[in-house]
Amino acid sequence: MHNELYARLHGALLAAAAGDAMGTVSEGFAPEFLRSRYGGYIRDLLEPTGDGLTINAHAGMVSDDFSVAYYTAQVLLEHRSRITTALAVEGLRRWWQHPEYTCYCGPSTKRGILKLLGEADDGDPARLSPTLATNGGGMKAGMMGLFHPGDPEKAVEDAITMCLPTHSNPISLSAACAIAAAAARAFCPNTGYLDLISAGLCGISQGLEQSAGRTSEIAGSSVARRLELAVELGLRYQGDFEQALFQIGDTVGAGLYAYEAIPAAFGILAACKGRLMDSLVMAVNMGSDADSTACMLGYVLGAWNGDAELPPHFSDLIDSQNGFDLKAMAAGICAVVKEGIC
Amino acid sequence: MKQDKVLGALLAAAIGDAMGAPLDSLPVYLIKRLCGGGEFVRDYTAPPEGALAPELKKGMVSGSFSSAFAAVEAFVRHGGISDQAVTESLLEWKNGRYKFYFDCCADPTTRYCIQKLEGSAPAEDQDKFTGFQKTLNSGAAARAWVAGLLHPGDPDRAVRDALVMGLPTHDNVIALSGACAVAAGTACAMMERSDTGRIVEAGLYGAQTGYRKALEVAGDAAGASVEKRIRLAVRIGLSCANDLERCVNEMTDLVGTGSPANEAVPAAFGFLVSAGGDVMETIYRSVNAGNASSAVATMAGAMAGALRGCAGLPPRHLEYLSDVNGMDLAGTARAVSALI
Repeated sequence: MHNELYARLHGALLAAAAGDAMGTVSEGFAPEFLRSRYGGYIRDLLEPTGDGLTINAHAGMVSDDFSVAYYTAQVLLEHRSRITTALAVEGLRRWWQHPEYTCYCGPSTKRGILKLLGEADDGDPARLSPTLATNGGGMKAGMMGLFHPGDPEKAVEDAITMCLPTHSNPISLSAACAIAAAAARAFCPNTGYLDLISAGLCGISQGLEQSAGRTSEIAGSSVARRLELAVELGLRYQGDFEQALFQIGDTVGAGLYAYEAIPAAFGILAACKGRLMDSLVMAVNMGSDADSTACMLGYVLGAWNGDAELPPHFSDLIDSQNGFDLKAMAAGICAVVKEGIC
Repeated sequence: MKQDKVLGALLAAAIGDAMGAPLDSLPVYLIKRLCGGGEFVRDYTAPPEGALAPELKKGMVSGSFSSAFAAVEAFVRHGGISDQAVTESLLEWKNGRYKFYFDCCADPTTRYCIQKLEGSAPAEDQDKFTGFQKTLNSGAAARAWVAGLLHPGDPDRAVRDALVMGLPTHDNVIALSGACAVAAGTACAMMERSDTGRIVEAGLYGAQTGYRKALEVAGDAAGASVEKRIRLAVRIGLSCANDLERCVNEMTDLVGTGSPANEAVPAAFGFLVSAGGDVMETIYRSVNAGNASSAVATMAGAMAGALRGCAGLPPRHLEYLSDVNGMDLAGTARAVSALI
């Protein structure tokens, strides 16, 4: 089973989980604060301090970001199927049984789930509050890139299916498609880090085209324009880790909005030339929605770099703290991909 | 001179808020279709279907101006800005003459914080609205120009009082940095000789100083920098000066024109610069960006009005807005200018 596809799939799963777990410690804090608290950059899976958003969390535990993707992938592997709306909903329902992860749930996901459960329904307004243009699509849609290695277009289709129940607005959806497309593209031969960025931009336009007419209207910034700005800053400050971190965080922002965290992720990727650990460290230490930004980078750059680059203790710690078996999941995805099921 | 500038600021802020309120939460591309009969909006309109605050009739201001006006009146009564006057003004907004506006416009966190001031906040809401849930929105900034009005040419005092005004409802460094930027910008606009370049410099100074001072007295917060985004907004404003449509689209796409203080405040400076300080043009650009249009237009309008006074404002607005909202704008402007 130790072939290249497996190594990339395991790298992507592990890096996404690791980015999420590393960032859970820094989520909601400002970068200057993190620097003084930790006396440098966070580079490991640390114990949460208890004054952040975490509840009963321990070093190595992921948050809502990776867990919702994990349980959805589990459902797909059990059904041996490409994603459908019904399976996306089943994944959400399974995830909702885990309060240790759902305690982090963002506003748009929460709204979607309460609707699915029949507990609250705002009756599909034509126009959504701008506060719902959030990044919760991106944090799980990277997984669709792994189910379609080398096929960004299918990854975009499936990202839309996966995210529509919770993120039925063009800003969140197109941002999710950027991550899915870049993750799928990372498996293609002869792909450089700049190709990952252009795959992300293509994913945004395809996502907007394909979701037209299936979403509600929403006001907010442009994911594509912000992404271009983030990449411009990342390229300008290549080689100056600290400047890149502050410039992207200060101007683009790495917050809850889909037009912040997703563009920031691509800016970081550009600044670090796609190196996995550097990118995760930059995302984690940018604070704000650090766990989401790092998790999304993990899907893309874990797939691009494979599973050899992460510190060796990450794999066991993450599996044991969360009750995951990421190697088995990588093997499972590998199998369904090779059988052509997806 | 002073009185003309004070009235210009009050009136332009009110015009911006009233024109912007029906467009709140709309994306740019829907404004022409839903509100402007195919064109951009350049006048008061009725709220469209699905409006954020459908109770606000055509010509009514929203939470931004009503809370700022309650503050101005309280400061006149108290002869200046103090903790006590700020508390009084917030309670007046919630329970007194401007209760209608508070009821239809105040966001949940602001509501909670003001209830806390009078001891009526439900204890179970504590976790919902404090700690990480604190509001980074531009509510404090949309009132903070009043601190600039009262301290013409003195950005430091304006910053100090913007913190006093903002702390009860926006206890975090980002919202307060935004408030101080607007206060310092307005203080600079109130000077006899001022221009948009100086207002931007004062705004950047206010954002920096405000952030630093807020770190000592308020809660921390994570998010993009108001100061850095003002720089981006000004660059966009300059490059799109001759094209309203491109200006609102670029500002929305890149800086953002939403309610967070690190979007609405920078956008207000960007629109002011793009319109070259022309009061009505500043307002038109601000409102047609949608999203947090009323807050952006209130702040941008206040700065432009303080800069240019009433000269660029068609006379019909004063009577109309004073009538529709039951606010004595001219009398209050006289009282303020007696104070400064």
